[in-house]
Amino acid sequence: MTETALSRTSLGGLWVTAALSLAPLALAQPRWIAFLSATLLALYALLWLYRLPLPSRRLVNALALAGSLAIFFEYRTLFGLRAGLALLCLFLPAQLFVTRRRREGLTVILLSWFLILARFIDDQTPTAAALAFFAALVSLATLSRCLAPALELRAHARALALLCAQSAPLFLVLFLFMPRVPGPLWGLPQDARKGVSGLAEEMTPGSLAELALSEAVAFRVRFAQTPPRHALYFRGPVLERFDGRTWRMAPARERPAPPLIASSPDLIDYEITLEPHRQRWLLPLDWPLEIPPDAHMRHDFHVEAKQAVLALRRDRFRSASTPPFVEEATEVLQENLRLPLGSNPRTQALAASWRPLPPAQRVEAALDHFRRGGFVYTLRPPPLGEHSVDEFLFETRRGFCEHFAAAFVVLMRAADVPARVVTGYQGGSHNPIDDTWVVRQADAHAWAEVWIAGAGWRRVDPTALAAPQRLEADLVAALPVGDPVPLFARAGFDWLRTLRFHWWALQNGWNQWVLGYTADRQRQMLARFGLQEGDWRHLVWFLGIGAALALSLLAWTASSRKPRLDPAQRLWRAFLRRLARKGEAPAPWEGPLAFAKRAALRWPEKAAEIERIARLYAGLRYGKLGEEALEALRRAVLGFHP
Amino acid sequence: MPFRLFSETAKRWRAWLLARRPRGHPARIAAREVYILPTGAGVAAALALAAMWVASINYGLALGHALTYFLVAVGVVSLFQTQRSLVDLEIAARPAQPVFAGEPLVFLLSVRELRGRARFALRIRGDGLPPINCALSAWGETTLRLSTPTTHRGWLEMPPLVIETEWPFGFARAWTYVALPVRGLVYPKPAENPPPAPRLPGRETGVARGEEDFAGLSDHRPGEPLPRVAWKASARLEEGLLAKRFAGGESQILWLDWQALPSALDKETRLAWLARWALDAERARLAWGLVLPTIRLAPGSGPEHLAHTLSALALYD
Repeated sequence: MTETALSRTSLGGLWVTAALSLAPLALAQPRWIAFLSATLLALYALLWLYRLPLPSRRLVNALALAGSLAIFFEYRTLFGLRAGLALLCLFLPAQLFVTRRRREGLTVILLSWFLILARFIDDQTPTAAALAFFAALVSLATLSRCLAPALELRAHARALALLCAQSAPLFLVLFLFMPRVPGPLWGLPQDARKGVSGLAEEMTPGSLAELALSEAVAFRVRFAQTPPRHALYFRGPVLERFDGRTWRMAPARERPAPPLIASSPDLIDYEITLEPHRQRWLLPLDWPLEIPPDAHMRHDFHVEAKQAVLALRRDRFRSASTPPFVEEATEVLQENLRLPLGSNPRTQALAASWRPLPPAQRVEAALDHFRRGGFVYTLRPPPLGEHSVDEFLFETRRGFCEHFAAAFVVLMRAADVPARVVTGYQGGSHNPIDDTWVVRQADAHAWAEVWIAGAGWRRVDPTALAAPQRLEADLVAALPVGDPVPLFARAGFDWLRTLRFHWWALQNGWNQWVLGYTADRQRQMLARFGLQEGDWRHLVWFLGIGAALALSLLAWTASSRKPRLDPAQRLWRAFLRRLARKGEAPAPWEGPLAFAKRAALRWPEKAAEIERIARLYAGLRYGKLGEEALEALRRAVLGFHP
Repeated sequence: MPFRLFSETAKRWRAWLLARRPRGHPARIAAREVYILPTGAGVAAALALAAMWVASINYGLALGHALTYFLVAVGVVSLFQTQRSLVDLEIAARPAQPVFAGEPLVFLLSVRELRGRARFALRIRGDGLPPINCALSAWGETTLRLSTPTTHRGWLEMPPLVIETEWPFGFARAWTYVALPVRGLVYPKPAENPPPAPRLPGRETGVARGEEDFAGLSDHRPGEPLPRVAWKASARLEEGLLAKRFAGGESQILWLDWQALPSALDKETRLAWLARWALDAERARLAWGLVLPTIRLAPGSGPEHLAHTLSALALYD
């Protein structure tokens, strides 16, 4: 059967499968690849519609080879994830042109499965899931179609629906109980990180402003008791090294002594569901006290997981709203005073004039400069040259939060106060539908921390002086009129915002229950069922015994059930039993009417009765007789005594 | 020769399976008689799913896990469907109408569905014969023609049937063997150009009268030549066909005698000549008798007599 040619409708089904699995992925590829895929698909559709012959296999192979070469020149490799996906986007439509028999049709289906899966690397939203599910269903229906090309589409759909319903329990068991292996199994290809926007390990003027228009969700927070909005500083990478233009993280150090909580602080308990950002850091609220077991806190209170966050992860944290008292190593303080020689001379000169003051007043003096200098908070700051801080402080005076934070830290260091830049997120949107806070990339923020001897690190947010609304309301309120504003944030779009809250709530539920179901979550759930946490051997036993039970149950039901008969057949058999007692039985190949004729010869006085029963039965089984005929048959059979 | 060894094992294996075949006629297929093995496509799909599972782990794709497990679940359940596609089918065969050696012997198979489930993509083939595709609706029944080539005269048992399916996805093939105690008779192939039938001394032979005497109508039997069918009369019936019966030619008698044939002829050639002469005699509306070393048939004519004669020739040994 593998050798027989595929029917036209089967080929059409393969095309639909390929198109459905290709479309979402190809659109995310470089434009020429998307164009190539679409062209090949359209070409095949034309050939199919007009019943034109397919091109020769050699031509298709040559085309595929040329395409692979082009992809090699685009990516400089054929083995990376992105290059591999591009190759798949090319090979799947090309495979259609060489598909004539079932074996090649199967290749199309399997390639489609890979493409459907590959889409999830960049997009795991409910929409993507629905599309993928639909594509998978079509692929299965097409497989059946290749086997039974003459069957009606509706019969295919019904058979597939039944099959899906039957496999739902097994799917749930596999999804919930199959031990989840925490990934990755091998090093992630470097290019897997492309295409995810978010904070970075370094900061240059303008890098955060790029994020400010991104509506992508960074993470979601659920608080036990919500702190005021202006206190919502989510701590990301702390940048201590400055080369005059770029801020970078310093290597982690040992802390001389654990942090102490000076006064009994307000403790904040919360849970963060972090979107995968392919970096290691977590984003707890300032100041983190309790962190997940697989994470550690650096000397600068920056929390890092052991491995990059590749899947949605949900963690519980506890933070203190007041900064803890710490002793800081001298090297750290030295690091936080370092400035590149000769950079930003005007700033250094200004700060040097404050040195006679006590440290706390130097901080005040710098803030005063921001307060009175007529600074403007804007998403479109003018480009800055070599002495970026000088230009910002004394000439342009227009900047985004990273300009303010960087300038402030440079001022402090020049005034001999240890200071550093902290990046992270500030604020967020409260979703009243499910009472969560949604923090988007647009909430990315940078602020400063200064070291006051005897008091420890203190947070200072110079942006707040230029744009106090940034903390209390949101980005839009803080922006001057005329700046570009994200669509959803514009005034007059309240209904859109409500809709959006609902959508967010839906996504949050999706995240919590589907995407957030990781190895950890699975263990927690099993613990609730009484299985010891982390004991996967129990799970294997459980699965094995469950599978054995299910299989034997199935085998038992399959072998023990007597074949059911339809009612007409049951009556006919009863009739045959009566005749059999008198020694007349149909031959295995004898139909009801032929048998009736023979029986009528033997009981001529009952001939009419026998023929009537046979006719009713044949009509019910093979003809169009309905319920009344069944009743008539019942009466006729019960009243028949040979 | 390893191949021979292999085919020897395969033969023994099949003999063992055939011994476990559904018995009785009609044969109903039970679950324990259905065998199932993955196909190449099934193995390929399993490998692909394993790769997808690994990719899901590596990239931390919750939905990748969901997709993989969904396809795995559907695939595993589909194996049960494949097997259940064959269970509770009932197969009966009608003895084949006799044919001459060299013509195909046709067994009419009737396949019934006894579970109220539609069955798709079934294939039925006799051992070594091309497969027949069929599908059944719930409680449905279908009739198939199993055409078997013939070479020798004598009884031909219906070859054991292989009933198989790959429904729904082609990931596995389920099959079962059914052997039904049904056979068909193969007449010896009539000789092409034998000499004319010898006239026997003391017997009267003659030529058929030009006119046929129409003698009446009776039920048409499958295998009777179509020109005999009384179409007009049949049209008035609700089912079945009527055939015309003729009388005549009884007055001349031709004796077909084994002993009278040239002694140089071997057995099969003698039978072939006799078969040809019997056919010619029937066509010429002559009456004939048959004398074999073991059997003697009284003179007669008509299709039934012809059938008797040819059967005797087919079974002579």
